[in-house]
Amino acid sequence: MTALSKDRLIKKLLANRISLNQFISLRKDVNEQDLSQIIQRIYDLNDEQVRKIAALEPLMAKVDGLKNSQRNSKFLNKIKNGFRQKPQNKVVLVEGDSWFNYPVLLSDVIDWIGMENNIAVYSLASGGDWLLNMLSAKKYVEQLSTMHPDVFIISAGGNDLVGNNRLAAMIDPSGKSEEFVKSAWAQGLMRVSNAPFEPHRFNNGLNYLSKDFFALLMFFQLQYYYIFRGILTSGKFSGIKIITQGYDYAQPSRTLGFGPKLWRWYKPFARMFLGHGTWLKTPLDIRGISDVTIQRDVIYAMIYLFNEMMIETGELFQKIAGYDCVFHVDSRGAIGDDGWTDELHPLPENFKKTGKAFIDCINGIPSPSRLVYKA
Amino acid sequence: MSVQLQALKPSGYRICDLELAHTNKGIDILKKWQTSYSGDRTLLEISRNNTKWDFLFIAVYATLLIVMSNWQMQRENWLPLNEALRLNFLLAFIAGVFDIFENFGMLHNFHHTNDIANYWSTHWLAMIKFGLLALALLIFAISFLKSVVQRLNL
Repeated sequence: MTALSKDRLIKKLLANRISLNQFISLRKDVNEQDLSQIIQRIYDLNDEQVRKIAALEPLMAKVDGLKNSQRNSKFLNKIKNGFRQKPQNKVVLVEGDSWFNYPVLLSDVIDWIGMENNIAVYSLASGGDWLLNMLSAKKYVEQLSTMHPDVFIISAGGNDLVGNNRLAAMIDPSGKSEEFVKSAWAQGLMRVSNAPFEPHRFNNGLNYLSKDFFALLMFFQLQYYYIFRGILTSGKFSGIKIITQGYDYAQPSRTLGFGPKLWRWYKPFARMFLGHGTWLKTPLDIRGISDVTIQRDVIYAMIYLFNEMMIETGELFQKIAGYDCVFHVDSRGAIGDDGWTDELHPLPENFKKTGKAFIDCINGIPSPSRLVYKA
Repeated sequence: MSVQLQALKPSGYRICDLELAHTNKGIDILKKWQTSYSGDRTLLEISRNNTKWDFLFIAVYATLLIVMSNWQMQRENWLPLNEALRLNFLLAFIAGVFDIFENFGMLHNFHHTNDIANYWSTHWLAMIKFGLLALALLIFAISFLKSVVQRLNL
């Protein structure tokens, strides 16, 4: 593909006017520079600005680093004494965001996975990290080559979408958006899914999604495709299993969550001090979406499509690699309205639910949906 | 600090006896310390000095308890105990706050040794503090022993 034709396709992607075949062509040909260009244009920022806002806050980076350091010491202790000789034991490399590395307060997904005796987890995850950061830093590449893990787990996309009020850019406040109808690719994501589906909520939410959301969703698939293609077609990691996850229907909220259960003391604490309300509620308010039902339906539509995009990505790579290699943990509907610590993060018991689905997948327990594990 | 605390022993009272004392007993302890010496310092002066150092000790033990609970929490896969270890963060913090108020009370009392009307009993502050610390340590101990037993059974 020439640079000019690629640029034309990128323009069409950004306008959410790219045809399915054009998107498939672009997907096969996109490189890191193209991806960087796309995100700059989605958010109207230059490269330096994108890197700046995608960078972790120093304190956050330190706290995440400390937790990873503890996890990775545990990993090194586990893999001694012939750990890898036993076929039931699995070495897992993890890259992701705060669902995989929540600072101190909560036991996140990876904490629960790491407690399994037969699973040794090496973590690169950082709360607040962008998929773009993970792709460009390539820390996962080095560790994949070093440890040749049995499983590579990745959780990313949430922070690219929220934070710094970026969600506001994904909204069409008129409530008359037809961008879903104009996207053949997005419509192709709607399959007979095993996930519980509320068409009224989904359709209501779709009315408020701007072209930038669909451009970002396609951009996510391009990034994941780029990462997985690099791993699965390199010839170096035969048999590796990749597992993704797509979050659950997060709850825009500013309530502090005080209640009679003393053991849930961390809920109001996290809400008061760790950004609750700023990720979803505030950007929606900024664009004039203040009705609670509409706010929830907007997030419903976004998360529904994000998960379907991840599932489609897994199916693509089943055809490319020739075996079931990219699996998806589907947490949609698993957490419930009252199961959240804050806007974006489940309570520990619900992180454990998602963790259990990962554990089943890692251990090769077949799923009724083959590539999809329900939390 | 422990050397200084040893100096209090001959008086028959330790610092925690004062912490847990009601008003009358507290006054008796302070009178005893005011008239008892270790070297050229009264036991009251030694206790006042120790109480000032205790503020640092509060920060140390509260932090240690939180760090230990966090470390164990990352190994505890039984949800109720996992949540209980998380509760330890709060218990350690509240115990530390009560201990700080207790120290302020004791420092005040050191200046009112014969003044029963202005004595602030730290009995309930100390009881709650020790109760919370005991609960937190019990939670940690149960989880830790459980993980040791599980490892031995593997």
